[in-house]
This record gives sequence, C-alpha cells and structure tokens, in this order.
Amino acid sequence: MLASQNRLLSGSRIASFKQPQPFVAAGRSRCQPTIVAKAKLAPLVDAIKADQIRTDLPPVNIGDTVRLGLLVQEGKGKTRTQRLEGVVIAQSGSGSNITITVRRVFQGVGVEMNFFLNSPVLGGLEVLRRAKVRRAKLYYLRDRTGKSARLKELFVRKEKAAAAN
Amino acid sequence: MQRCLAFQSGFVTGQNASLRASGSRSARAAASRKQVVVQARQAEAAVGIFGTKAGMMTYFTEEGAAVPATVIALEEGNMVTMVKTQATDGYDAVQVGYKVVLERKVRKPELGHLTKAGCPPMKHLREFKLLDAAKVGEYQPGQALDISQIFKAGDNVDVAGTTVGKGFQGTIKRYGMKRGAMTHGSKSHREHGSTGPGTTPGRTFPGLKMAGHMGAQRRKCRSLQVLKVDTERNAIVVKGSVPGKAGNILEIAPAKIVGTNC
Repeated sequence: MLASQNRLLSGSRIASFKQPQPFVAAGRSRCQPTIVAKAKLAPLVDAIKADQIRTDLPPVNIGDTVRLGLLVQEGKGKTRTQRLEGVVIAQSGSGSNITITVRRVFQGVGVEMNFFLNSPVLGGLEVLRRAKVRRAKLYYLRDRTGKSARLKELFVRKEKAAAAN
Repeated sequence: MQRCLAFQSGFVTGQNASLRASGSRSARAAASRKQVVVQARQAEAAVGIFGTKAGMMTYFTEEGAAVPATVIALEEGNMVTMVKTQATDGYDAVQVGYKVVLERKVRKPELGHLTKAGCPPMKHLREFKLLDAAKVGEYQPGQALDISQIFKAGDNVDVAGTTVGKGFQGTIKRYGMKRGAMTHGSKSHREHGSTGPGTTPGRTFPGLKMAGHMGAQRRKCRSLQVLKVDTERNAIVVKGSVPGKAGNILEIAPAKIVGTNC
C-alpha cells in the first residue's frame, strides 16, 4: 500500500520535499515515534535569544563598581552618552535578559537603577573596582551609609586578569 | 476542510410592495423584512500563513526598548492546496496546508486531495477567506508561500489560535464576577449570586452567565507588530503574546485595519 502511495507522489511537482525521519531511541526499535514538534521549538527560541547576547562588554560581578555609558536620545537623531556610576548589588536573569541593579548615593539620596546587560542602549561598560563579597545580593547596603557601606577591595593579579579575559 | 454556510434570504422590492398592500399578516411581515445575507466565518484581508508557537522572550528593539515577544516557528508546509472562487464554491478563499507529516498519518481521501494539488502530505488544512475576490486569482494549487514576501519587520499581523483550556471554571474566573466578603459573617464567597428577578418573570433568562467550560476556543490577537522575520531559521518574532501554549498551531494574517484593507 505504501508503494502505491509513493507512486502517486512521484509525479508531484515538489522535488525538494523529503519525508521527516523518525527518531528511533536506542533499545526501542519496535515503536518509532516521529520527532515531537515541541522538542524543536525550545532550541529555536534559544537560538533567537542568543542572537541578542552582546560580547563586547566586559563581565560584571556582584560588588563591582561600574561606570555605564547610557545612550540617550536628544531631540531628532542626536544621541549622547550619559555616564552612570554605582555598585552592582544584584544580578538577575540568564542568557539574553541578564539584568543588573546598580546602586549609588546621589546628593544624599540612594538611587538604584536596573539595566539589561544585552540592551543596545548600553553604550559602554567599565569596571572600576572589584570587591570581595560573600553574597549574591547586597541588599544590606540599603541600610548602611558612609563608612559602613564600604566594600573590601578584591585585588586580582594582572596575569590572572589577562588570562580571564 | 471548512464547509461554507453562506446563504441568502431576500425579497424583491416589487414583491414587497404588492405583498404589503394585500395579503395576510404573516405575508406582510415577511415582505417587510429586509434582505439579509448571512455568512459564517470572517474574511481575512489577505492570505496569510500558519505557524507554531515556540516560546516567548525579551526582545530588544533598535530604539532600545525591551519588549515581550513571541517566537513563532514556521514548520514545513505553508503551501496552497486549493483555490475557491465565487463561481465554483460560492465564496472566495485560498486553502493552505501546514505541517508536512508521514504519509501514513494522512487519510487516503485527504492524501488524494493533496496529491492532486501537487503537495506533500500535510496535517492541517485551513482556508483564508478573502474579502477581495481579485486576490484569489494570484494563487494556484501547489504554490509555496514565501514569508519574506508576505511579512516584513514593522508590519502588523492578526494571530489567531486556540486558547489555553482552563476546564470547568466558576463565574469569577470565567466572567470576572466579584466575590463576596471572606469574613464578617459572609456565607457567600465565590458564588454567582442572584440569577434574576422573582415571580415575574418566574424563570431565568437564556444566556445567563454561569460556571462552565472555559478556554480552548479560537481567539484572534489583533494588530501585533512583527519584530523580526528570520528566513534562515524559518521563524517570526511578534510583539506581545499569542493564544495557546508552545506547540499551538497559529494562523498569521496581515492585520485588518479599518479604512485600509477591510
């Protein structure tokens, strides 16, 4: 029956068509399930997400003091870079939507800003100082000011830093 | 395959006048009824394609906005299998097939229908009913639809699909009714409350909102912006959310914008 059906299709105009190959799991040669659509969909989404990941910015750790260059639209077509500085107190997300929270005390007021690390709005990112922290989230800094909000500096040897990059 | 349920019930105006003047009450009532054309199924602005919902992501636009986006995979298929015209079928539509599968998964009559069109065995067959009869002439059976010619980044699309099934749900989730107080001696929390007046009319009206099955219905998300058309990976990224879960079959057609194409 299959041969006759194949003969029907042999006259079709579609030369590029090929039957989808069934996936055969090892040790289960009796039943041959075809590839389930959902198994191919998640890798597709991951691939499109991976397109957006930026490779030009340096890696950021919790406790780093960073200076960000934010591209700001001014009027028609003109863009300028606004510099923002602060301590990275939290990192969230994974892959293309990694977010960092940068904290700074500006004119006596504590300010926290969130940024997508892969956003096209980030013009540049510079790590000024690294700190030795023993937490993934430094929310305790919100209750501290002045000298008690200091973070111990982490010294990385130049050779190690070069090897890491 | 869809069956057309279009029918017409009309009365000639000359007949109307004569029937109105003389004849029985029912004849006069029938004569005064306006001409009514009932057509099932809405028509699309233009022929679209089918896709499979793959998942959602955060998409960064060129302006720098981070927007929620849905990735729609385009599996093998999207070929025209049949063209319906006013003369042959009573309405204008283009039938498109989707998702190429093994021969043994398609029934023999459908397999014959697809082979006649010169198409491989495909699982789904649905129509795009068109408002404009002239557009039907541009399509022939066996024609493969090219997404890059139909859509490009920045276009607006209507995405239709079966929504997530919620099962048997109460009136609060199903119709957004308000619940009663949880404390203060209240004995009614998630009930529907009153079902109508008392002795007059002495019955409940049809169409009253009550608990029942929710979800698993066809819904259309209108005017979603296309963010990216990926021809290498066969995918479309649209802004926002679409009905169903990952793996759901979706109909993607150019958006119907009142005043321009509908």
